[in-house]
Amino acid sequence: MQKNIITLLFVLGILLTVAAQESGSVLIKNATLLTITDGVKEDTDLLIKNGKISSIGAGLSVGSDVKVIDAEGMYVMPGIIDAHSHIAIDAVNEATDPVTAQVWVGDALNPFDVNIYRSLAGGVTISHAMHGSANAIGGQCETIKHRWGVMDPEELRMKDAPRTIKFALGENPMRVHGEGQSIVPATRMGMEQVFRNSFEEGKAYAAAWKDFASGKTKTPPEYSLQKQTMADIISGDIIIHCHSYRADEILMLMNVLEDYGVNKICFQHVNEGFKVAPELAAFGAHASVFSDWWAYKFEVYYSTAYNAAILAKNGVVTSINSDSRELIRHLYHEAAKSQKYGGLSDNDALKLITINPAIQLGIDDRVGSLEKGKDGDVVVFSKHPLSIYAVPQYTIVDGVVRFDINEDPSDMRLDIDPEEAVPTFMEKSEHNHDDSCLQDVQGHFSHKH
Amino acid sequence: MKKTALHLCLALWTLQVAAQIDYDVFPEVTNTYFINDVHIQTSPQDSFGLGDILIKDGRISQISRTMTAPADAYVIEGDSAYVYPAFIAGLSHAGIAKEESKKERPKVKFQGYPPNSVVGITPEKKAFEMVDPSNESIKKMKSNGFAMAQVVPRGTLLPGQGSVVVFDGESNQDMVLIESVSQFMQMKGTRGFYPSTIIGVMAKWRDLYNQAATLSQHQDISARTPQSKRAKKDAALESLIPVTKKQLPMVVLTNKVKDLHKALALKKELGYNLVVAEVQQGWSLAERLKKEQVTVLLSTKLPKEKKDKDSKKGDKKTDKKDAKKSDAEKKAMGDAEQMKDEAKEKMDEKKKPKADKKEKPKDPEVEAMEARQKKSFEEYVGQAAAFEKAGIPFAFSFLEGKPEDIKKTLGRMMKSGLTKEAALAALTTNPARILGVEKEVGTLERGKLANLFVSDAPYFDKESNIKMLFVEGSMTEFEVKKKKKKDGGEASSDFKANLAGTWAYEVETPVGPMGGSVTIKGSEDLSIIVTSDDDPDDPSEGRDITLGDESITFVIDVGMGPGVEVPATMELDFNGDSFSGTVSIDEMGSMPISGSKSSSPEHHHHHDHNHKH
Amino acid sequence: MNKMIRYSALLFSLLLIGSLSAQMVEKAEGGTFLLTGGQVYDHDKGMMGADLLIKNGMIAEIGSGLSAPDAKVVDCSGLEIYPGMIDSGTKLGLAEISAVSLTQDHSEIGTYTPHMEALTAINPSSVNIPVTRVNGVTTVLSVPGRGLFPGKAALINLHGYTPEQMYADFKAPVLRFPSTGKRGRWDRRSAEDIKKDSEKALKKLNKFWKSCQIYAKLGKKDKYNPQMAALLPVIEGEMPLMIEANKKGDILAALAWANKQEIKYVLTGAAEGYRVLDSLKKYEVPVITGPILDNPSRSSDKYDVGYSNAGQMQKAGIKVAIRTNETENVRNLPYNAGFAATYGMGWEEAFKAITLAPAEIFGVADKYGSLEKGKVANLFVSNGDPFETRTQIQHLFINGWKIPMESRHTLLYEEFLERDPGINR
Repeated sequence: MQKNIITLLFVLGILLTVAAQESGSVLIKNATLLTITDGVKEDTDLLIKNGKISSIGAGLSVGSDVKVIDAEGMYVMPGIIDAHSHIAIDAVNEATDPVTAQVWVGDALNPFDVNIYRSLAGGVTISHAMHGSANAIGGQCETIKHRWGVMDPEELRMKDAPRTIKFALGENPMRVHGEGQSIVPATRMGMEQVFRNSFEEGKAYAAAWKDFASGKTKTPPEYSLQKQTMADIISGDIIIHCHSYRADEILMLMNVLEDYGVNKICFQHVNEGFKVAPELAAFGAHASVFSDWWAYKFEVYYSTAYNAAILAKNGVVTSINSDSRELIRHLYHEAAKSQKYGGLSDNDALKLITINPAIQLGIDDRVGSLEKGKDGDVVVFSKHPLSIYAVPQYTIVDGVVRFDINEDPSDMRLDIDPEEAVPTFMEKSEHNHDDSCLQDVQGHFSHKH
Repeated sequence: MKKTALHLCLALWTLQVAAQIDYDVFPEVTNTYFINDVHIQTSPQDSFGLGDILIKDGRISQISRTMTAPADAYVIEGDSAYVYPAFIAGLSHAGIAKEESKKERPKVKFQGYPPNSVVGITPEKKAFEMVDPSNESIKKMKSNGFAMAQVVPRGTLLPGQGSVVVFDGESNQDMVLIESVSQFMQMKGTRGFYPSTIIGVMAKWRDLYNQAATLSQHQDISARTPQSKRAKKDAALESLIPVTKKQLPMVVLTNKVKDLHKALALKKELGYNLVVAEVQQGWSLAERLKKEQVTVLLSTKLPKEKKDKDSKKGDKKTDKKDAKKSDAEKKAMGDAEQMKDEAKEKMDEKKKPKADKKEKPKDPEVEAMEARQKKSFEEYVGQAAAFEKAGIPFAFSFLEGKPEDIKKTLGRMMKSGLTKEAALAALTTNPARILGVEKEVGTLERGKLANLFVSDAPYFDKESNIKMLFVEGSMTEFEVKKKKKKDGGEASSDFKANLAGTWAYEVETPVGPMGGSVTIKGSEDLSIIVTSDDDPDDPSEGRDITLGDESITFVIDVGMGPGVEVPATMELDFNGDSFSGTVSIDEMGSMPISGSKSSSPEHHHHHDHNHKH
Repeated sequence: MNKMIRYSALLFSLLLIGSLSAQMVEKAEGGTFLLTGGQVYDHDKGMMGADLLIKNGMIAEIGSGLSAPDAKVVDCSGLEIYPGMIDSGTKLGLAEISAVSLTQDHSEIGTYTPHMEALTAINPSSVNIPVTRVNGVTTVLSVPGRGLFPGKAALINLHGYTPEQMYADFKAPVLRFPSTGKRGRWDRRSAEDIKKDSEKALKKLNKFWKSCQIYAKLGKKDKYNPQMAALLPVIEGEMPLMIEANKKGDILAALAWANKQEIKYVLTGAAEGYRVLDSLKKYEVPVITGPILDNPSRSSDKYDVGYSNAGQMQKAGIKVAIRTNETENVRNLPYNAGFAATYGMGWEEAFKAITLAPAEIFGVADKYGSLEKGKVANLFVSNGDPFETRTQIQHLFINGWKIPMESRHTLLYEEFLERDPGINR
């Protein structure tokens, strides 16, 4: 049984099925390469072979069986990575308890979500499908590759990407549980204790199994996926991505983590991160922020669109995310806002949507820059991607062209209703912002983020 | 266990005389039946041909062509009717009443920790315990040829264990053949409590499964280690232990391809035996299901057919207009209200009569979407055929599709390529094997349970009727429904039965009315002769005959002057003893035709038999 | 000693300056301004090197070599001067924090509330306003929402201490035409229910409208009936009705309805405008559309229809203005226009859609929408193309007031870029 559990957890952490994942080859010629880690290379070719970047240089050639894209006058950058999204999942919040570390949005992947294609059309090749922010400790998340066209959810997973989990601070969990259910946490004081309690449980659980394995105890402890997950966080197997806004709560969580020896943390949204940028940098915490969202609730009223720039300039690994089916389509434009608000250089601005989110997801050894040996995830733009006039032309995932502006029929749905020919019209929400972070929260708490 | 239940069942059968006096009924004097002169479909593939069946003590005692009825036998004149092994529902809620919706929200302090019952986790329950033999659903299933089913409880996440029951007996104890054949699961959460969403459900299931496995391990240790910590009693977890030991399969409700992927992933992760049930969109996974040895119960719920097809019934003239309109509506982004608006807009614009009536050119975008929808529709309907092709011996589940629609549903599946044999197998031999009762039921063989039904025509004939059903040798007779057209029912056998004969017609031609007669022979394979009063010596024979629900379409050649014959399409809609319709001739347009029956044939051979019993 | 005194005086004055600058609130500056050496944008002629004189809140002159002895000179060499951007649909000033309901003043309770005045509830001190204007948006239409007739939208300039000071001479009541679409992913109504609801709403609309027409005919203007009185200017043709409709079928129904009433109207929303180009063109209805940065409305739609809709309508000959439909991020107006420009509309027309086109639709083109002598001095000075994300706005004038280039966002940046104390006490 012990072995059984270990196997299960092992399997849970990586992949359930090793699905045959399509990879391809493609040669991009005469482009301006924005490599992110090795400067800008003009008039250069990039070859992706069997899903991996195999060479970068001048005058590369391939056999006639490999697709060639003439990108003269165009710009090539690494596939954009969104460190915070809720697309391609059928459930976002298991909002019934302040702690649901055991749930996993990877169980609800939806390869038919047309938002995958729409984000590809905006150059995004990888997104971090996250649990929502209803609970202090929400569910485990899933890093997915935008392989539009696959039917099997397993094929969306980015194989071997580290496990991640969603935490949430502040108004959302306080409103859902404190206000909504009259249970702890109703305050930011209670919030701290919820984390401490769960970490303690995880610690004790791991110890109990250890005692059983060593024969110190005769009978097995009661199985708990939640406590096991907490133990896995403590042992460093899971990266925390924490929904947070206010400076005080950010400091609180860093204190708690320090007590349990946990250091893999990326604060999400972190609108007041700019106030504690030095502390974040010192802890080694990362920050994944909105380009300019603010004022939709009280805890983001004292925000600034200069947040990304302040954090980056203070040495915090910073990314810009979408948290939205809309923003995910133009993250290149959102990154450009860091130039408007804080004057980041082109390369620093592009880092916010490439190598930095890759670092935050623990996949920077595989993606996030144009380097030999990395995954063949690239996007070809008509103009410099930080220009408002840039239009993605091709988006390539593992060497497979998944978006080609010249072969883009309107209707890209994969799962067709057998009874209704024309899909429903959705009115625009009064507010342009998504409310996906609190999606699936039942009752009257479906506010934003 | 199985055997005991069966014996118990049979014993009760003989004791069914009530202790109290009730002269509204009389005791059955025999449990021996002799059905003579019937076509016997012994298995999906094999037909015995015409023969007799002897039923004794609930079992098939003999099938023969040369038998004479024993003296104690209740003899049933088969009159060349058709006998089939009775159907077995792979999964159903037959006999289990719907739960009344609880209006009051359970009082639970922590929504994250509700009692099992609040979130539908009751794996310790067994379905047969909830079966009410007098429940209407059982009668419905019986009248459609079903003698047996795997029943599962209604509920939410883990409603309980599946039981195999036969549809005969006065109590659920009588009915149960196997108390526990499966553990049933629906990946469904409970609003407001953990688990509420699919991600909660999956996590909760992992927890329960692994807790059951740990409990089992703990029990084993406690059993062999004196003075060790006692394993806590937990009925729910204990009932899951057989699943962890692969002694009981998980039956998981999986409508869509996404559900199937989830079920397969969990099977792979946890390692139990899997039955996927109520599958509606599984064709793309057929090969994988086969490879991973997953048992398949296909749904009998198919996408609804288009309405404009139905509109052929009733007042044709007005309906046709409507159908056209609704078609045009669809062409304009499928917005039902839209054509109305466009029409309004047009009216407001300036009333341009007539000329504007031309149909708008089709919107290519909508046309493309309609084509995609049609293709998807066909894939859903063709799923059973696809599974047959993949060589998967599936059965059917009836949690969502209605058993009373089974023949119609099979008809649609067969139109999409499912063979008759596979259709029968899915209702007989396959479920028998899946439920582990293939030695007892599924085919008509000597020694097997006498579960069979008698149909007045080959089962798949549109107008066939099930006349009687035997369940473990116990007979139920059914009234053969007379479907009247006025009731708006579907193609009645009356319509076809009434076709044969001579019908007088009148066509309104541009040169005045012309009369004649239409002589129709047969009811399924029709032959039609049309004789014009103007030229009674040169009748024409109808060809390209299509038989509709209440209509016939066919083509005849009509003389248009010396040596010139042109094809005319006759579309006749029948209503009792009269018809109306059109005669269309290319380049001439169409002319209204109407008529009524002038004489009937002398014999109603087949028809008469129906009334005997 | 002397030295000592001098030193402390210096220290004191330094401290004073320090504390003053910390407390000092930058105010808008009035007067006469001469903007010299810049490139002035003209909708027809494009960029022209010229000076621009602002006097009494108006553009007094545009030309080369201008001089005005009393004017404060603003050196614009190397910079570009554009008319202030106009967002033709926002909730700016009517909402502060979306999740805090008591800071929301745009949605009164009731089905028929055309007498609600957005201008009444405009909060001139909203923190959102400076954040918006420093990006070059000088004027917005603030629109109420909820019910069938939520009230009158008001055009405001983004500077002033009272709503009246901000008012930019245009008001119009809003009609939210009954929708047959889903309201969002959470909308679980069946197709039938939606149809029923919209039919019910249409009946309500027609009944109310008929009553308003009778009210107008009877001339009962003296009788207190504010709901109907509010629609009189529309019925009498003095004011347009702003009709919100987005779905193809709803737009067509709205057009049919409006034409029957023989009123002036503007179509707003028009998400599926590109599907009804012929009808829009036929009725010559002006359209306010947006946000451009928005998802398609149907799962089958091409990914970029949101971006391209405005351009498709404009190319078909329809007058198009662009809105953000935003509150705290109205500042993204130029980027909405920028995406429209990129996806088919072109720069000139997209820029018009956030300047001259809305001014014309609102009937205030004599004052706003372009840089011309005699128009209100609403303008901004930038270091480049205002659509390009990295472009910085250097100077901003509203009603001739020189507006400080600061907002909560810039102030927090200045305070926290190099926090002091840093990590140590």
